[in-house]
Amino acid sequence: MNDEILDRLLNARKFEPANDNLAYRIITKAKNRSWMNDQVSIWDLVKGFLSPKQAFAMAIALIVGLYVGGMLTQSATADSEYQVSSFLEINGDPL
Amino acid sequence: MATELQKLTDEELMELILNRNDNAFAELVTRHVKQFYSIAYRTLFDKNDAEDAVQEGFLKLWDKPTMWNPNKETKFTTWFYKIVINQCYDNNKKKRPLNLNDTMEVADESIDVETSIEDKAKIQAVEVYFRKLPKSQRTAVNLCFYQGLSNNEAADVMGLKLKALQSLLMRAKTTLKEKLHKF
Repeated sequence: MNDEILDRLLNARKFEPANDNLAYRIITKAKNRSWMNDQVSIWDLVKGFLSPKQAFAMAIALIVGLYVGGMLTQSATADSEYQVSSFLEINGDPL
Repeated sequence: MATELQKLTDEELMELILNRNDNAFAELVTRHVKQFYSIAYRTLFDKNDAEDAVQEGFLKLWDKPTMWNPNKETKFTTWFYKIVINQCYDNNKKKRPLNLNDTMEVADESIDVETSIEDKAKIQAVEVYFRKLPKSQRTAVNLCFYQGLSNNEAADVMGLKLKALQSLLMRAKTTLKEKLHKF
């Protein structure tokens, strides 16, 4: 076999067909990674302002705040329901 | 936006990617994915592994675009061939060694339909023996024949001097000719 024939045979198979979805998959993964990196940067930003102890204290304060807030809202709702039912008992239903 | 990006060169797209422009990244991937998949497939001989290598190569580029040095006078494709080929070698190290039976199975889906049966047989024989060549010779043949790079570009991708690359090609062709003497 001479060089010319071998070159022709080697050139005969140029490209393997790639999966059509490959580009889409790569682009999607890269975009998802950007989103995750953004989340990390927000955390880095928080870490920049607060020490771990301060962050822990803030998290506890937030949980306690939400709990107390929830209790107060519940109690205010119960109060207003009681006031409405008392009003209806005394004055009758205006409708 | 997409058509504007299509007019840009690879190197201009890389400048945008350095500024985290994901549309530029998408354009670069769409433009070159088949070309790099092709070299990955011809290095690993497995579709899934080749897809993984190309994907990991592009994601490395996206995660760390500063790997690309715009001041170096290298074409993007020449530079990225190095990334993909090294990724293939790394992935291959982690895997089991190639089973000889795998290498004997040569799909002929990419051979032109109009190629004669005799030529198809010859091309498949070339492929079988090509897969048995040493790694560096295979890479040299891949770059120069299948990817159509010039000898200078291929030498650059492989980090070799031109003479060393020519020697690899010569040895690969001599081996193939010896093996295929009956044709």
